[in-house]
Amino acid sequence: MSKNSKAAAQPKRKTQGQLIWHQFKKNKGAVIGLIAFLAIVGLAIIALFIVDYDTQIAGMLIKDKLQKPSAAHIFGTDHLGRDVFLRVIYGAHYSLLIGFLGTGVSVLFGTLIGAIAGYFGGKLEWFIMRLVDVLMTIPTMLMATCVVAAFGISITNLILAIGISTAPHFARTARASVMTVRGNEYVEAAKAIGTSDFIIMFKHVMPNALSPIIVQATNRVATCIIAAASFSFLGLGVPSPLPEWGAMLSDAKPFMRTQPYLMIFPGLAIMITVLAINLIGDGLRDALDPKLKR
Amino acid sequence: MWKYVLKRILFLIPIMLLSSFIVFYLMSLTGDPAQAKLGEDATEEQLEMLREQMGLNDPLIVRYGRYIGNVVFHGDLGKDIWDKSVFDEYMARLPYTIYLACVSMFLTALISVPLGIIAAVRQNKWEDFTLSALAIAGMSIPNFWLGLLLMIKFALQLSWLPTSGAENGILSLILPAFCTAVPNAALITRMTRSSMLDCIRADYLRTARAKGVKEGRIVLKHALGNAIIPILTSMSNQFAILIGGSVVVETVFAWPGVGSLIINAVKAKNTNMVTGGIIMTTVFVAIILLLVDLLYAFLDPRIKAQYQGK
Repeated sequence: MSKNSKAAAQPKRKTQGQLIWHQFKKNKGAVIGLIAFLAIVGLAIIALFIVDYDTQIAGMLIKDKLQKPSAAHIFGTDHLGRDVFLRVIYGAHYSLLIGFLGTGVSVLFGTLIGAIAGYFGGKLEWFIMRLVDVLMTIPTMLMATCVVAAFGISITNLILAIGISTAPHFARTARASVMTVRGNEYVEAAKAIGTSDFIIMFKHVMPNALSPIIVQATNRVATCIIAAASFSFLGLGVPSPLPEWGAMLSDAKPFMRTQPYLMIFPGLAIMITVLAINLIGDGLRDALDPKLKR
Repeated sequence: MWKYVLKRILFLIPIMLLSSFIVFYLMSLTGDPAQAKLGEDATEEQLEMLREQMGLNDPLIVRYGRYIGNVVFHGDLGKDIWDKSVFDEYMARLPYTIYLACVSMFLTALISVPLGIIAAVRQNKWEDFTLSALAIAGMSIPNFWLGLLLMIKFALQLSWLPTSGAENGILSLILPAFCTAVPNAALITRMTRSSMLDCIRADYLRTARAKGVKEGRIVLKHALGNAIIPILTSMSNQFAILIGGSVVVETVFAWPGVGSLIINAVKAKNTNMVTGGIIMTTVFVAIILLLVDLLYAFLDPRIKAQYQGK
């Protein structure tokens, strides 16, 4: 059998995931972003093993305090003598955790109510979307401030605050996306053979309506990380002994005149992480929506 | 058309009532205002008396009704923990936030629209790549951190600009306005680029070129003229967000706007101030967004046509 006919006999079909990966790979920025992101996650995991939390992260080593970056401490040490490099890589946990869980809460609630509105339509849709309108009039940062003020300052509340305040945006996206899918023939076919609404929604509608939500969610992780750092910097997020990047910047503020390097590294860490995620987001957008590709 | 305007304005009322109720409800969970006022060592009797006096023993909906009644009919948002009028305090701060937001938006437009046009015209050339890279970096930089770095350089090391406050007029404004403008400008640069690219491919531009219209005129008049609507939409959204809270940057630079007012009130457990501040800001933002929407209704012939004769 010749090579050609063999290929014709077994047509190599790519799965959707492979197609998306193929598109994603073409975007150099996105690949750099992905590598950077994996490196950050890798460092954060390594930090768990090499760092002794009680002494190096939350402890006090006063004799080493406020040292300039050197071979022993490549990012220097802070006002309590703790190594800034170790704190920065350990701090990735908090930012990534809050970024992803905050977005997760937001996607879960937002997408669910948006999808229900878009799928069922009618009075239910009207009611849900008016509620979304109401929630969206409260500016995101203020809504989050409100939630933190109401429930107190803690990591869980910060995740909830960030999640709740951005959920309405996902509701709108999900509704619009579901509405474009629900008119398709395969949905009608599923209805015609008596499939339940629940199964149609989760098996037939949602998988096809997911692309814009994934793209929005990726960008949202980036903004959540900045929001989390902002809140911690203001003293309304992750409390200070924990090495969250925003909290580290807040700790460094009194020393900004004499020890400006303390300001540089935690901020740089936020920026690189957010940049990596934004690059991945751009790549996903192009890969998932070929119409936008240019 | 006027019916549409009236409908939109009337629709704003229930939305405002509900959103202010949500804020009021959330803030009622923050703790006992009587306790906050009297401090830790107040006796149970004193607390109970003050609660009765302040009407805190009434059901939530009654308290909300009373609160919103005072706001609507007397412009009274209550008193804060230091017995100052929340409304007066808020109004004293608002001009600073508006001032900052206007200057910041001006900077955003000044930086981003020309850069976006250059990126689009030089698509896939080095200018485009450089600008796109700069834009995504600008989007990723936390604006308060940028503020801190610039503060170290220009205020502490070079002493060219004041570190904080608003006493030095326009000099005090440069850093906060620039920091809030950078992420917005990055976003608008990308937006201008993609919006211009959509227009540059359109048939009417090919026609214009075929007619021999000069390239500069094609870009600035024909393409930008059509690309500008989505750009203006997201700029007005950004403006609304700035009014609603350049919370962190205002706090970093101790800019006496409403954002820093609200954050300081949260820290001081100054509940009435937080409630009043958030509700007022929500109202202003909603009014701005409504005005923008109505402006489009007048400008966009498609929306106008929909409501013609109704």
